[in-house]
Amino acid sequence: MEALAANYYEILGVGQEATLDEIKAAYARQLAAFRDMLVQREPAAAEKLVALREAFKVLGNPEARVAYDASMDGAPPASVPPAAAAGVADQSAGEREEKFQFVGDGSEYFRIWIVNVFLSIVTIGIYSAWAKVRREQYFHRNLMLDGSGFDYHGKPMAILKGRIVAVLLLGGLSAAQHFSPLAYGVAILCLLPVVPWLAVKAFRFRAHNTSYRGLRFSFHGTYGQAFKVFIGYGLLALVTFWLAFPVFYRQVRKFILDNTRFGTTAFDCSVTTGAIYRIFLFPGFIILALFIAMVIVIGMTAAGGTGALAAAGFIVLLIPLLVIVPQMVIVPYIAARTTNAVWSATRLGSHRFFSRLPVGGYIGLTVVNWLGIIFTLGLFIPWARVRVARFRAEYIALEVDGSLDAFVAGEAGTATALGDEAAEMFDLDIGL
Amino acid sequence: MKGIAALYYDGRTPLRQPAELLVIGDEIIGRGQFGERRARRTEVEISEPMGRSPRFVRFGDGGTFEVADLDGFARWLTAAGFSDSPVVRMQKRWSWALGSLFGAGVLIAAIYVWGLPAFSKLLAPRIPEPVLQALSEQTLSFLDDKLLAPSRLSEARRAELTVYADKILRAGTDLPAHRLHFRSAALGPNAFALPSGDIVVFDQLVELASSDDEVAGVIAHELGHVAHRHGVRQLIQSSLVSFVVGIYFGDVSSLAGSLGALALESRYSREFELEADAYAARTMIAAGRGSEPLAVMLESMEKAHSGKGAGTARWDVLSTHPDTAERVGRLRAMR
Repeated sequence: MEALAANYYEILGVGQEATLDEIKAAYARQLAAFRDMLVQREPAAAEKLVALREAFKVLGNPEARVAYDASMDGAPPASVPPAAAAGVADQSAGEREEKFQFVGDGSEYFRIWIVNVFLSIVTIGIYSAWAKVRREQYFHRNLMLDGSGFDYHGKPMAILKGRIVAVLLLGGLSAAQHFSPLAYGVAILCLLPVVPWLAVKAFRFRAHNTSYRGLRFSFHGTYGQAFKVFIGYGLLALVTFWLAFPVFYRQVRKFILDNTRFGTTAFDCSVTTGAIYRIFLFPGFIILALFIAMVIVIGMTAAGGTGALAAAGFIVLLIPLLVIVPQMVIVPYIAARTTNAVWSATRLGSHRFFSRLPVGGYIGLTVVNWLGIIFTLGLFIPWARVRVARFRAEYIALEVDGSLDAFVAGEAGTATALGDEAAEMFDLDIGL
Repeated sequence: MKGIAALYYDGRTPLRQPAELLVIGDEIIGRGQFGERRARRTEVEISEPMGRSPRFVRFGDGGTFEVADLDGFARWLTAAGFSDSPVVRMQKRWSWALGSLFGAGVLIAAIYVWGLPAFSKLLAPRIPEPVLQALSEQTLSFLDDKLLAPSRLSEARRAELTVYADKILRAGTDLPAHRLHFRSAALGPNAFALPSGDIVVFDQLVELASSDDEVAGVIAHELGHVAHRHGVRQLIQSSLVSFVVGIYFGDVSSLAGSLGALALESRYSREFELEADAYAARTMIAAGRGSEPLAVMLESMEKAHSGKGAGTARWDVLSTHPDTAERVGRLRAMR
């Protein structure tokens, strides 16, 4: 309780005449002491951290410090040479926006990709686990924030094991689908309760194997929560003919983000249901219109007569439209807008995210990528992936509150790759 | 040897601490204000070069050194006696990348052309009979619902054809279990076989044939597909293709997968047709009928289908088989 009564100088343990460098050194020293408190599980630790941050936020910023000094009773303003301090202050105090940056390059990733495709074929797919590690490493390490890259720690053997189980599962399912729809239906029903379990495993594996500045992410969602989200809200979306889909969508995103931590600090996503509904309104109408057109045309064909042939021809035109329009326009539209809504409402401790993906630009990017992939028979895939990563990084930023140094590692855990592999095979979109 | 500048992370906080990395003898040493970290060179993990991203030197306990000076680090590694893995060297060179592209193309083509058929031939006899029965029953009842109508041929005519075809088929060797069905369809003169041995002949084919021998020839051809398990082999191949294509294309999977499957499923391959023709010819010759009736039937079916003109819905199994002229030529050569 002493901390609450003290002034900022006392909290940091410096005199009022301290220079900016001394204040920063003191802050680092106090943070170290705070970590010791945390290790010894002292209950006052959290309050201490809040007080420390508050003090440093003011004293670490020369302008705020002058104002604070003036507000202190009868105390003379500290003599800080503003010009000398300003440059450093920008780096370490107050709020500043740090942009994500993707520094990968398409032709360089192409070489990695094609060598890995070749080796995967030669080894009848066994090498694909190593290929996946290289792919993830490439996209993690080339994503930079505040001068440091992310890193990926997945181990090829773990991924290979998960991949073998997932292939057997999916192979069995697809065989069942061909040979006996009944067995397929039964298998799908049996697998339904497994889906939340796989999802939790997948999120845990991904978070656990991602690090930034040597500190790991982690995921703490439970099976119960996942069951409620994926089965509960999933069924809700189904029985309302997808009218409740945005509710389901929001629950999934919140489940992922709110349960992810960087060190011991949790993400916090406060996106509203209304915001998600506004995004899905427009695509909903388009899909409804396409559906109605489809029903009318099929009705005409079934009715027979002279119109039937024309209608049949129209179906041939309409089906590609039904596939291409959603993939090329609606999917990127939803991706860009939901990314913006979700990330702009997300915090990590006292730091805030911003996402400003331009919707038109993202649709253009997707269309070019699709055309590129189709006309090069897939050879454009590496460039397409790099283009998406670069575009997303360019428009997502972190508003850093003070400094990024004040995180603490959580307990080390382990994670198996099965969920992640199964999720990948079954095309579950769990990307952030 | 000179040290290289790095940033040190202790793995417990994201604090960046300036450091220097050195190699002395068998040990890698990182030092800075935090003190000194030492590890044997075999116990540290050095990340592969990946474009312009920083590289990592990781110690066993999670402590990590991050190096931003890539060229300097490459020289430092060489001087310290580390070398890139073969895969990394392949990834760096365009010649290897293009070689991999070529190799991947050749391998995919080889697997598609030889590997897949060989695999399906190996697997097909191992599919249990009840599965084939269930599968064929479903297909037939689906087709009965959507495309086929009951036969308009008289009961006596159907019995006569069944008995006659049976007599001819018995002359052949390697006779699989089979059942003959008659249906009517707006699809023109045609016939098809299901993996279970159910053979369906359309009224239109019986009407087109100028003799019962011609019908028997077509039935023998379809039985050839059953004897060689062409249907199951086709199914295995298309399932595998759509599975692999699905994984490769990821989000495009359902579309590309079903297109791949469709491309394969819609037609028996050329080899399958020639094999079935040869089977039919052997049976017909053994029964003393010769290969001529099937040859004549193929020609008249070709004529019947091309005569219908473009724009009509066409769903045919026999007439679009490759090179009717060549097949007829081969049949006549077997006489």
